[in-house]
This record gives sequence, C-alpha cells and structure tokens, in this order.
Amino acid sequence: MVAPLPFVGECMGKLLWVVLLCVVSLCGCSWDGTPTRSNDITPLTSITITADYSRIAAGTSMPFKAIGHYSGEFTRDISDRVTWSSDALGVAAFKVGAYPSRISGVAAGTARVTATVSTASGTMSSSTTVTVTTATISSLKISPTSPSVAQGLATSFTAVGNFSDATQQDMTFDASWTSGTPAVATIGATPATTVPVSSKTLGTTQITATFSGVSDSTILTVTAPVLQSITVTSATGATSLPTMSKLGFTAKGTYSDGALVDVSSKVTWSSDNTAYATVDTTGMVTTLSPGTATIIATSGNITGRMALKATGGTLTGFSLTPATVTRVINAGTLVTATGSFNNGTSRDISRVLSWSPADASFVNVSTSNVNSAWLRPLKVNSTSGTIITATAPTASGTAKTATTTVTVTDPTLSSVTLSSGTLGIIAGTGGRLSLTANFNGSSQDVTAVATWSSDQTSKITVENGVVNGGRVTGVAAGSAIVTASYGGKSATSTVTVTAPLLQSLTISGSNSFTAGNQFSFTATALYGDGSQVNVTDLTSWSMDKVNVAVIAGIASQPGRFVAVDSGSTIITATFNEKSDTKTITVSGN
Amino acid sequence: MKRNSILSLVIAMILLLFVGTVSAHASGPYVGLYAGGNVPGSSTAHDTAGDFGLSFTPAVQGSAVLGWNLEPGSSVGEGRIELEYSHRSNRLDKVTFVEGTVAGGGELTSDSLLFNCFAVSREPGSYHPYLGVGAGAARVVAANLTVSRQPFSNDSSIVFAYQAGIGIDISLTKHLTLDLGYRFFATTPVRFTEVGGRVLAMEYTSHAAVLGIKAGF
Repeated sequence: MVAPLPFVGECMGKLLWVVLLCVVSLCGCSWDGTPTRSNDITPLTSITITADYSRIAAGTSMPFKAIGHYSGEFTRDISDRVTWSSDALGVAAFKVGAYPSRISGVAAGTARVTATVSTASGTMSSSTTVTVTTATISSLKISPTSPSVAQGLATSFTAVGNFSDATQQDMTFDASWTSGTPAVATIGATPATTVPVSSKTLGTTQITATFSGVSDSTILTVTAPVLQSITVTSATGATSLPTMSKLGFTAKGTYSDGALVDVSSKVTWSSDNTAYATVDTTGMVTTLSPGTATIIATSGNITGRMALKATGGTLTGFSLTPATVTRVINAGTLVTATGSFNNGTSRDISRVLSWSPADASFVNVSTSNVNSAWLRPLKVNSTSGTIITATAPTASGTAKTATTTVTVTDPTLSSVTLSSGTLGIIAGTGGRLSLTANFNGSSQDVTAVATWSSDQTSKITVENGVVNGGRVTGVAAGSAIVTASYGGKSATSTVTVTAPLLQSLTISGSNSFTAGNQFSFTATALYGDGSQVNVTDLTSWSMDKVNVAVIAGIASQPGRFVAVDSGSTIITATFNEKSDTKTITVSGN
Repeated sequence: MKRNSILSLVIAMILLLFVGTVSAHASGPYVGLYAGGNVPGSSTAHDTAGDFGLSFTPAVQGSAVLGWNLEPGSSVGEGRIELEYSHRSNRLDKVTFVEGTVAGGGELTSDSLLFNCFAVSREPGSYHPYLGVGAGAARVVAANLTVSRQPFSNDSSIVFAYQAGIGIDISLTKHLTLDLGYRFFATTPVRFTEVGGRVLAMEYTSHAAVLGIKAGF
C-alpha cells in the first residue's frame, strides 16, 4: 500500500528542501586554509614610490619604498626587486650592498629618483624627486630614554635629528651607535629602522648615538633574567599512569638568559580535569579515573603543560592486609592495600591512601619511605583494638574506605628466637633472617624493629629497618655471626658465605598483561657450582617504555610491576653485571 | 544555482502529482538519466611554491546510469547495482595566495565512470529510501584555468574516484521511477601541470543534489 498522497507529498517536500538547503548552504564557501604560496601569476601593472621625506640634508640618507600594484587586486612591497637610480649622482646617490633602496644626500640640489622593474610584458618604472639641502644637524634625540631590559633579551633604539632648517629626520641609520659597557649590552650589527641592542649581564651601560659631532646618550639598565617558558615533565618521563597512582612532576623554567631552572616550588600547579588527576602544591600528581588530564604549571602569565593519561580502570573498592593484628608496644607492622578496578584488574594502592587511626595516642601511622602504611603501636589499648581507616582519593562523591584493627598489648618478653641458627649464602647474594619475640603464651615477628649486627662485616652485612631488617648479604667467602636484639634479649645465627662464579641471570614470569594489572618477575642467578639463587630483591629492574609498564614502587615487593597502557616494553634485570631481558605486551585499558 | 534548485523543486513537485498506488520496483535491468546541481568543495592545492586555495562556482551536472534492480529477497541483499557516467563542469571562481584572493577563470571538468551499489528499502509503497557507495575512475580536465586572466593550467588527469549517495526512489508507474538524491563525489589528488612548469596537486570533491528518472524493464 502507498501512504496517502498528501502526507507523502509533504514528507517529500521537506526532504527536498533539506537536500536543497544543504547544497545551497555550501554554495559560495570560500577556501579557509592558510596559503603559503605567493601569487606570481597576477601581472604587475604599476609601481608607486614612497619615502618618509621629500627633502633630506646633505650627508644623511633615507630609504625609498617601491609598491607594486598587481592588476588592481593586491599590492606588494617590491623595493628589493626594482633597480634604483638617480639622475643626479652629484646630488643624491643610492647606496649599494645591503641597502640598495636607501639614498644618500651628496650635495644641495634636486635629483630625480627612478625605480625600474622588468616584467614579462616589458619594463616598468616610476619616478619622483628628492631635494638635498645644506641644513646641518643641531641636536639628536634617542628613544626610548632610560629603558631597561631583562638579561638575555634585546631591545632597540631610534634617533631623530633636528636640523638647522627646522626639519626632522630619522637618523637611526646614519648615526653611529656605541655601548659604554659592551659587557653589559652590545649594539647589533645591522642598524636600519631601529638599532638592536642585546643585553649580556646585569648592570647599566650608556648607549650613545653620534652624527656629525652631535650626540645623545641614555642609560640602558639590564635587569634580572625573566622567565620565558615552562616545561612540565613527570619524574619518570611517563605520560601514562595507572589510576590510583602518585607521581611527582617537575616544572623547568627557561629564563631570558638561557638558564634552565627547576621552578617546581615557585609555580602554581593545577589540573584541567580533576576527575582524572589532581595535583598538589608540590607537583605531586594523583590519578583518579581513566582519562586524560593536562597538568599545568603557572607562573605569572607563563604556563607549561603536560598531558597525562590515566589508565587501568576505576577503583571499585579495596581491602587492607592484615585486616586485624595484635602487636606489642613499638613492634610495628606494615599494612598494604589492594584495590579492585572496574576493568577487572587489581593492584597495590597503598601509596595513594590517607590513613587515620581512631585514636592516634594508641597507634601511629607513617607512610614515608615504605610506600605502604607502617603502624607503630604506642600504648596498650582495649581488647577491641584501635581502628585504622584508609581512605582512597576521589574527585567527587563518597570516598571509598577500608579498615584494619590494631590491638596493642604489653606482655612480658621471655625470649627471642631467630628463624635459623645457621645460614649458607653465596657472595653477592643474600638471605633473610627473621626474629620472633616470645611472650608468655604468645609470640610476634619483630624482625622489622629488631637491632641486627654482624661480627664480620667484611664477610657478611645485615640490614636494619622496616623493609630490609634481617636481610643478610654475603660480601666474601667466610663466615660471621649475626646477632638480632630485641627488648634486651638477643639471638645469634652463623652465616657462611661461599663464592662460586656467577654464570648467568634469568628472568621468569608471564609476558602478557592487561593494563592496570600488577605482576611480578623472579630473577634467578645460576652459579658455577650448579646452585640457583633467587636474587629478585637484589636485582636492579628497569623497563624501556614507562608508558607501557612501570615498577610498582613498593619497597617490600621487589620485581613487581604495573601494566600501564597498550604496547610492548623490554624489562631488564641486572645483577652483579649479569643481565637478562624479557619483552612483555600490555593490552587494553 | 538557485534557479536550478527551484527548477528541480518544481519538477519534483509536478512529478509527485503522478504518484499513486503503484506496485514496488520491478526487478531486472533499468536505465536512467539524472540532472542536478553540484557544489565543488573548496580545494587546497599544493605545488613546489607552497599551498594555495581554489574555489569553484556551483553548476549543473548530468548522469546516465545502466543498472539492475535486485530481486526482492535476493541473497545479496535488497538494492540495485549500476554503472554511472557523470559529467560535471565548474568554473574556477577564486584563487587564494599569501597576498589575498584573486579572480580565477576557466573550467574544471570531470567525467566519471563509477560502479555503484545501493541498498534500497523495499517496504510496501511508492517511496523507497536508499543509500550506497560507488567507485571507479574520473578524468579531470583543467580547461584553460586562469588566475587574474593569466593562463594558469591546461591539463588533464585520470584518477581514482568514489562517491557516497543517499536518496529516495519514488515509483511513478510499474516501470518508471523518480529518484531524488544527494551525492558526495571525491577523487584521489588530481595533478595538473601549471603553465610555469610546476605540478600542482589538488583535492577534488563535490556535493550534488540530483533528480533522475529511471525506466525498468
């Protein structure tokens, strides 16, 4: 069946009009690009000559200008295309060389000046007259007076002469220019309509123009260099970063004297899209959700920008490990946070969280140097413990939180026990010892807060601290006694070092990941005696493309990376001059 | 252009009067003739001296088609395939250089032969919207192009051409169909030798409103 004719006709009419209007709207559209080609087709039809003065004093000069008229469609300065001539060289003559359109007054009289140009249709010319007078200069005036310029920048001067016949002439070209202190500022090499002066160092110099024994001077002050531009970069060079990450940004300013200065602390930091990334007053950027934000550093009217792409999904929630813990006073413990993201990935987000204990008098929370939270019990609390709340950053809405509960006790220490009474390691590698504090009816790992020492540091070293406490490293073949002390109790372990020859290093782990996921590699050293040692935490890790994958930056988890954005990167592990590489591929976001 | 558009509108309205309850398009071969107005897109041209702009005036265009209406329910889909010859000729109106815009002259002509595929809605009734694409070749001629009345280029170039089209088929009778449509036509860069010896490369695009009559067998 056919639709009723009037209705269809109406629809067709509208369609027809739409089509016609579209076409008509395109009519007359002119080209809106930016041309770079000059018009060498439209013929030159006439020339006119112009000059600032019709009379000049003998011994002075002035430029002529030849304007070409092209078929009435446009004009163009063709001063450098025409041939200039004077019919009375004893009165006025054109200069040669760099200023062929500048005429000099030789002696009093009148000269006819002609500009001639050859075209495809023949020769074309235009003439005018110039009168040379016997007027003499009576005074000279420099402009500007007492100017200042920032170091490294240039400024310019002009000079106007007053003549005995009450006329004025621009004497910038004809005057000779000097700088009293060239070390402060120098005169440019090609004076024309203005004299360029380049500043060199802080200070003042006297700029003088002289013509026919008449001069004028002014003081030029070179001031401190000023900021010209700002370049914003990230600490790692990365332009992509997983969400719920932190990375420091740097602003480097280029000053007028060419100096490149770190101005990170002097600029105002901002983000053009705080839903994706925020930046604090120090330039520390926190990524929040996937998207691209521009990190901006501003000083006065100078601005530097860098686009940062946040990848790896939006945080849907996170959990803390451990969720509950009982510790004795001063026996701190690390707490890490694992975030879940809406693209199915998960990763450690400890570094971006803010931590707050319900009562700080019982438990102190520190995040410095460990990229995790270090909880230090201060005094005994109730059996229900002290709740520590971790809060994730958010651009808007309710922030996501998670808690861990710390119960602080103060039992009597009865003894301490090392994880091993003897330990054998290979020189250049290491091992870990842990210390357990035994109380009446309970025990706790106090490795991180124990005091560790070696009686033969030339053979064995042992580290103290939250992350590496109890880590022994073999220096040379031999043995040493490692002592761990806590609460006035101590225990010892005999560590023996052998020194077989390191043969090779091997990275093991997967090679394909999704953006936002965390992954780890293991570095295994193979020695001449056939032994294989896990040296992951002694290995130096790097990658060639920080926008594809980055080191997780968690001190307690060596060999761990986070996939950032699509692409491939080469992971390199280096240990005792041996290295291995692995190419990984990251897909999706 | 305005006069042509009004003329097209009048013709379309008159033909609409003849629309009645007719059966859908018959499958099988058809021939058609089209006329319309086209507006060439302003073009950036490049040669060794730099970039410059070319603007052309709107003009009429004509086409002839030889095609085949596919059987409704055909395994290859509802629609039609056709071979289309079109002729367009537009005057060079303005040329823009660094110094500004100057008058142009001469004709830019294209003769194209395209193989078109149109998907057609075969809903019952006399009105059948369609859309499709075509590809083929075009011979583009710079016929005595001038800039400021000076010879600029007189050359020709054969290039790959393509188009996209949309419109509506209106069944007038069992064998006659009125086609009202829009066509966007473009080619790969066209190269012409200038009078001075330089070789310019320019874009060639065209927007057209067309009105055609097709006879099916």
